[in-house]
Amino acid sequence: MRALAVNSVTKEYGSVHALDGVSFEIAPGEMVALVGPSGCGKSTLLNLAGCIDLPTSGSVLVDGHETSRLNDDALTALRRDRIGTVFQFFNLLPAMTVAGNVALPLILQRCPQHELDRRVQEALEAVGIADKAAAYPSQLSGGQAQRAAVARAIIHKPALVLADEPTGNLDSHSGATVLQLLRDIADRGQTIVMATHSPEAAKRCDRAIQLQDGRILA
Amino acid sequence: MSALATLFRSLVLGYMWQNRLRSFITLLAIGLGIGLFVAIDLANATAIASFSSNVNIVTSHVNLQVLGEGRGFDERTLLKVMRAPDVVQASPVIEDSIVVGARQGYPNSGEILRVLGIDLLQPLPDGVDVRSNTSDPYGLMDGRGAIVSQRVVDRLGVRVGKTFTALAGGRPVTFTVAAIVPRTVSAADSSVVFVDIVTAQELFGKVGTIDRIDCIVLPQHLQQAKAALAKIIPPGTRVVEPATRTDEVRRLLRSFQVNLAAISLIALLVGAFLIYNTVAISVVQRRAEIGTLRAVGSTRGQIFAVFLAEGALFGVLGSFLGLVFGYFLARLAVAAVTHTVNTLYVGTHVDRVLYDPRLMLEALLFGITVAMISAIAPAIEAAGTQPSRVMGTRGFEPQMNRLAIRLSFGGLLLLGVAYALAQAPAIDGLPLFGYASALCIILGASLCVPLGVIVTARLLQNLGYSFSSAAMLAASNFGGTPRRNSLAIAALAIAVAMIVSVAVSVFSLRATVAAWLDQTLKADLFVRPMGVSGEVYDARIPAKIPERIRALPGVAAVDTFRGVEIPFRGSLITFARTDFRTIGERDWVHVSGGADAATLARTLPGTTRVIVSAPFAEKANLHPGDSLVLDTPAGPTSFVVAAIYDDYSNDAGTVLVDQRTFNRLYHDDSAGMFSVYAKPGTDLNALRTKVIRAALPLRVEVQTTRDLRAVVFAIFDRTFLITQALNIIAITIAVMGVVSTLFALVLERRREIGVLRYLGLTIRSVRHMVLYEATLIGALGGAFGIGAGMLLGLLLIYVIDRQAFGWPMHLHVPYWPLAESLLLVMIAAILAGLYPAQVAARIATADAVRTE
Repeated sequence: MRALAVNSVTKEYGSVHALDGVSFEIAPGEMVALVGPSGCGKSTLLNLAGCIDLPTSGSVLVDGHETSRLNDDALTALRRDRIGTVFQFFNLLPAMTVAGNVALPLILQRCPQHELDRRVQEALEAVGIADKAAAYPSQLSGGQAQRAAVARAIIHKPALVLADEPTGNLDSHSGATVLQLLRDIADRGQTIVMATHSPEAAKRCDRAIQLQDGRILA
Repeated sequence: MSALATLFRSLVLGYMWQNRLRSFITLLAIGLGIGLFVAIDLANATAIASFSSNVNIVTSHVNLQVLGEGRGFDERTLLKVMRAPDVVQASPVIEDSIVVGARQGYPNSGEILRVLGIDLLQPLPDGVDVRSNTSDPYGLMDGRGAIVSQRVVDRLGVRVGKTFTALAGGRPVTFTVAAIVPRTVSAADSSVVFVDIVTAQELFGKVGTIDRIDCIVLPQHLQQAKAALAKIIPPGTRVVEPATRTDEVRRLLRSFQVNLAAISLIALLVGAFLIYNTVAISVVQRRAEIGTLRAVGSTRGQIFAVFLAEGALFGVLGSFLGLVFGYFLARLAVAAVTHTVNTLYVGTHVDRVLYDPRLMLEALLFGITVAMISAIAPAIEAAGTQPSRVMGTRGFEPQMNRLAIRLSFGGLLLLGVAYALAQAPAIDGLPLFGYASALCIILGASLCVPLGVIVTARLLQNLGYSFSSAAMLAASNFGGTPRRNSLAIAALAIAVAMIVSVAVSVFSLRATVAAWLDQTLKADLFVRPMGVSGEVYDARIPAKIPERIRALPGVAAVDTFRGVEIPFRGSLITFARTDFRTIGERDWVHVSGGADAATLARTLPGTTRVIVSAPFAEKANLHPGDSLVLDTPAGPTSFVVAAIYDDYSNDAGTVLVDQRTFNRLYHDDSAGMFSVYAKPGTDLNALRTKVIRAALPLRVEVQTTRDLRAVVFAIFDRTFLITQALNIIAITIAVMGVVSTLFALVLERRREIGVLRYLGLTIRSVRHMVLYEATLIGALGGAFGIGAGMLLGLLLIYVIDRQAFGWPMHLHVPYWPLAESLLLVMIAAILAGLYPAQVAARIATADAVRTE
C-alpha cells in the first residue's frame, strides 16, 4: 500500500486551476520533495495530502484511504492518526509549553497520561530539545521552535509527514539541522513529503517532484 | 491630514469596522450602562422636581411661605402677614387629599388626588382661569365646584357640569366639575384639584384654619421680610423660602436616591471594564501594526493618543446611545421611584419625566470621561510596544504570572482598606466611607481574578484532560490569556457581586421585617380611612369613631395612632402619638435601647418623654437620656428620649409620644388609624363588617394582620423591583463583555484553531473548546462574584444600610436564590459562547495556518 497516491487530480478555486491532472505515488519510507516556483501548486497539493481540502476531480489516497469518500469527521481522524505536519511558521500554540505542544497529537488521540509523558520525552530527545520541555514557544529560537514542530509531527508515528517549507523561516545552520532530522525520520521508515523552494532541501530527499502551473514537469 | 488623524483612521476606524459586531456589542453595553445611569438620575431629579414645581401652582414668583408644623394655623394670621412690610401679595392655601375611584374591598382601586383650597378671587395659573366666561354655574365659588385635570376627567368619565364622588377624610363628597385644566398647563400636575378655600376648609374640617400662606415679597428685602414675618406668625408655624421645603424632601429621600445612584454607577463600572477590555484586546490584536508604525517613526505619544481616542470614541458613541436608552428607561425608573416615594416617604404625583438637559449633558461627559479613563492603561501598553518584540508573542501573556501574584497582593491590601473604611462613621448621614469600602471590595476582588484564572487553568488542565481533549485545550487557552479573560471575568464578577449583595441584604431585611411584623402586628384588625393601599395618605378619623368601635360586642380594646410630618434638622420626620399606658400589655413595641416596655407604660404617660425609632436615633445620633427640641403648635418643645424602638416602616424617623401629651400640644384628638383587639373566639370576618358599618358615614379600610402583612410585603417586593432590574441590566452588560471577549479570543486564535484542526481536532471539539472556556469564565465570574457579593452584602447590612437608613439587620443568606443566580450566570456565559463557538468552528484550516 502506498503512503500517498495522487491520481489525475485537479483543483480549481473559481477560475484558477491550482492543480491540473497531477498523478504520482509515494511509497512508505520515501522522502519526497515538491519543488517549483511560488503558485505552482505545492501548497495545494500538501493541503490535499493533509486532508484539509478535497480535489475537484481525481483522487487522493492517504495510507490507502480515498479522501473524497470520507466525511469531515473521518478526514479529521485520518489527519489526527495518520498524518503529521511541519509548517513554515512553526505554528506552535503560544499558550502551551513545548511539551504541551509536542503532546497535542497524543492528547487528541486521548493517549493515557503516563504513556503520553514518556513519548513526549522521547520525541523531544529525538529532536534534541529535551531541556526546553517546560519553555513556552516565545522563549525558543526559530530552529528550536521548528524542532519542536517536527517532534509534534512525528510523536504519534504517522504514516505520512507533510512539511511545508520547513526551513523557509530558519537560518542556514538551523535549516540544515531540521533537514537532517527529517532525513533521519525518513530513514527510520516514515514517509515525508516536503514542499520547498530550497535546492538544498530537495537534495536531501530521495526524489523531487517538479511542479509548474499546477502540473508535474517530466 | 495630520499624522495622528492618519494613525487614528488606520489603527482605530478601520479596525472598528472590521470588528463591527464586537464594536457594536461594546457600544450597546456602554449605552446600557450610561442609559441606566441617566435613567436613575432623571428619575431622582424628577421625583424631587415634582415637589418644587408645586410651589408656584397658585401664584407665580412665590418667594416666602408660612407653613404650619404638621397642622394648620389660625386663618387670622393671613391678615397679619398681608400687613407686614415688603409683602406684596399673600395667598392662603389649604392642602389636603381626596380619593377617587375607591371601591370597598379593592384597596388599590382608588387614586389619591391633591386638593388645593385657594382664594379663587386671586389669579390662577395660565389656562386654568375659567371665571372670565362663566358666571359660576357649577358652584365653584359657593358650592362643591372643582377644577380638575383633563387626565382625571378622562379617568372618571365626566365633563364640565357633571358630578363625581370622592372620599375626603374617609367621607363621601360630591364635586361638580366646574372647569378642566388642559394638558398644556404645565404649572400643575394632573393630580391637583382646585377648590375654593372655604369649600376646602369645610371639607377637611379645617374651618378657621389654613395650612400655608404663599407670599410674594420684594426680592431685595427678602431677609428683612422673613425676619419680620417670623415675629408675627403664631407658634407652630415657620417662615421658609420655597426651596427649603424641597430641600427637606430632597434630604428625606437622599439615602434612598443615593443608594439607587450607587447601584447604577456599578452598572457603569461594569461598562468601564468592558471598554478597558475592548481597547486592550484591540491593542493586543494590533501589536504587529503598532510595532511596524513604531519602527517607521510613530512616537509613543501618538500611539498613546490614538488608543485614548479609541476609548473616547467608544465613550462618545456609547454615551449618545446611552442617552437614547436613558430616555426610555427613565419612564420605567420614574414609575418605580415614584412608587417607592409614595409608599415610604411622602405623597407625590409625577406626570412626566423631567428631561433635564443639564443632567443629560453631565451624563454624556461622564460617560466619555469614564471611557477615556478605562482606555488609559491599554493605551499606555500600546505606547510601550517595542518594535523589535512584536512577533512570536502575539496573544500570549506569559509575563502575567508574576504580575498576577502582585495584583493579588494589591487586591488583598484593598480588601484590608475596605475593612478599615467600613469602620468609619457616616458623613452627614451618608455612608460615604461605606461606598468607598464597596469600591475597594470590587476593585480588590477584581485584582485577585488574574491569579484565580492562572491557578484554575493549571488545576483544570490535568483534570480537563481526563474529561476530554477539548476541555484540556480550553483550560490551556484559558490560562494562556489570563488578562483578557480576567477582565471579562471581573466585569461578570462585579455584576454577580451586585446581585448577590443586593439579594443578601434584601433577604436579610425581609427576614428582619418579617420578625418585626410578628412583634408589631399584635392587634386583630387595622382600620384607616379608605385610601390607596400602602400609599402615604394623611386623613383623620374623628375620635368618636374609635370610641364607637370600642363599644362593639367582641372588641376587647382599640388603640389609636396619629402622626404628623414635621421638619427636623433640615429633613422631615414623623411625630406620632399612641397610648403609652397600653404598650406594656400589648407588647407591640420592641424596645432595643433604654427602658423596657413595662417601665415605659408606667412612667411615660402624660410626660414629654418619648421613644424614638432606631433609624431616627441612628441618624440624629440620639441615645436614651438625650433631649431634643421639636417645633410644635405650642412652640419649640423639649423632649427626652426614654427608649429606642425597632421600626422598619420608613427610614425617615419617628418620634412616638404619649397621646395625652400630643393632644395637649396639638389640640387634636383625631386618629390617623386605629387597631382593634378582638375578644377570644370572635369571628374576625363578622367583626370586620361591623367595624365598617360602625364607622359610617366614614369609609374605612379594615385589614386583618394577614392582609396587612401581605400589603407590607407587596410594597417591599415592589420597592426592590428596581434594584433587581438594575441587576439584570448589569448582568446583561457583563454577558455582552463575555461575548465580546470570547469573540475576540476566537478571532485572535484563528491560526491556533487552524493548527488544532490540522492536528486532528474535530469541528465539534472546536465548538466544545470555546464553550468550555465560556463555562470557565462563567464559573469563575460566579465564584468571584459570590465571594465579593457576600462581602458587599455584609457591608450593606452592617454598614451602608445601617448608616443610610438606620435599619439594624441580621444576616440571612438566601442559599437557593444564590445557587439559582450562579446557575443562571453560568448558563448566560455558555449562551454567550455559542456564537463565538460557531465562528471558531467555521474557521478555514488551510487559510488559518498560513496567516502570518
